[in-house]
Amino acid sequence: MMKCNDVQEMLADLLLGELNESASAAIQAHLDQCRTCRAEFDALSGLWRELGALPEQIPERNLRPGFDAMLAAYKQGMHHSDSRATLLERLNGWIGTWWPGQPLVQFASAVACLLVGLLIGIIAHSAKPLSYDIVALQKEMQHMREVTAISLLRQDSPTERLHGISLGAQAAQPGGELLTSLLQTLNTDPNVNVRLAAVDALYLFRNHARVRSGLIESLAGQTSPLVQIALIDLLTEIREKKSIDALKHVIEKNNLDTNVKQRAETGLKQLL
Amino acid sequence: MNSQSDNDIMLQVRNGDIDKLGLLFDKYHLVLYTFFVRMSSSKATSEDLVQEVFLRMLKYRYTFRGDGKFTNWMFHIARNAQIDFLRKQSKETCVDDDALDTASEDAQPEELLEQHQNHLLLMQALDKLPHEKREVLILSRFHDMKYEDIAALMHCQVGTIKARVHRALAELRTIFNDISGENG
Repeated sequence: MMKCNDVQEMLADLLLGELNESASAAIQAHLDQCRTCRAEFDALSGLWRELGALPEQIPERNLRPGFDAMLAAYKQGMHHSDSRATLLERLNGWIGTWWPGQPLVQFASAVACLLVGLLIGIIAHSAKPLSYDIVALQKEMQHMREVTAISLLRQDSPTERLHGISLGAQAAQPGGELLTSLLQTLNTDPNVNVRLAAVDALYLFRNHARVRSGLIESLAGQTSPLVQIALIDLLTEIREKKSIDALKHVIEKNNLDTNVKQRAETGLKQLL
Repeated sequence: MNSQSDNDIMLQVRNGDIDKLGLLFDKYHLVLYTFFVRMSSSKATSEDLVQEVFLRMLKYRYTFRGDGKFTNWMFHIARNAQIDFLRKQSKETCVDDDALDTASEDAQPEELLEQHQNHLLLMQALDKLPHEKREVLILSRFHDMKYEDIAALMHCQVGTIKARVHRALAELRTIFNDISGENG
């Protein structure tokens, strides 16, 4: 008999027709007996059905004339490029008549070209100093985005909090406050999907030491098997050796979900 | 069988019979248009992106080898066209009421209204998903792409796509319930 967590992890696969016959049958058998999983499946399949019923979009104008015009222009361009090719061939031949035959002279010409290029580069660079205004503006925009993300993470609505995570995940160089807020969301958000989204976002910032240590600490406090599995997968994928003790601690927990235990044991083997 | 004939047509285009691209345009321009609208592009942008995809099919026709599904290659081009567009321009978000004007013919007025509202809410919920999660849902639900196809398209592991679809669906449900007022 399959466990509820195993089944719930595979409900999307069942909807997408990604399971073989025996796996589908095993899940169906579980759904026939488990009301919780049945309710979960009914909700997801309802949503899946609704998605499928979304109408096809129709453009406001006929796109075919634009396509025909593009095709005609492209064909004309092909014709032109054919005649240009013969011009290029002639030019090639002309250059070939004066291009030096001696490898040493060829090398000297190449060096001269390189030096001229460097000189032009230096002149162009000194004439146009770095645009500090743009850099400052970019920094300011990034800061504003982070402030907005943090503020959204504190909202009551899970949709707003998901939006906050999504916005925060776009930060190229996240500040300390954003990372703290994301970790806090991971540890305390009441909605499991928001916590899972926080795991995804923090994965993007895995190179930050505080994120790595925060993820390890979070593992001990998580109660949802889905979040526990997501964290174990993440720590294994980033090959975080410091998580070995945390994984051992999880495995030793009483009443631990068997699926989580298996994942933690597999992760531990990979890290050791 | 369908894929095979699409492949044959595209191979003819690759070999110089570029007028044949019109057959693929007739067959797929609405599919692509719907894909772009659902990926939150405005209607006008989606129309431009459809043209851009067919232009790129011509430009990059030599990269079509004919050994996979034509639609996988087409969506590869479509994704790149959209990514380039998003890079150039800040993203426009537009869920138009009139985008949802198709409904089943035998439905009653109250049912039609409810169906319309549900569609609108679902489009809004879809729009609120992060780009990469919205994309896997759209490709799997509307374009019948399997985990394996999506993984190849996005150059990542099948397991990553599987987890992403799972979470995308769960997140969509949370958002949909939230904006329908059933939750939080």
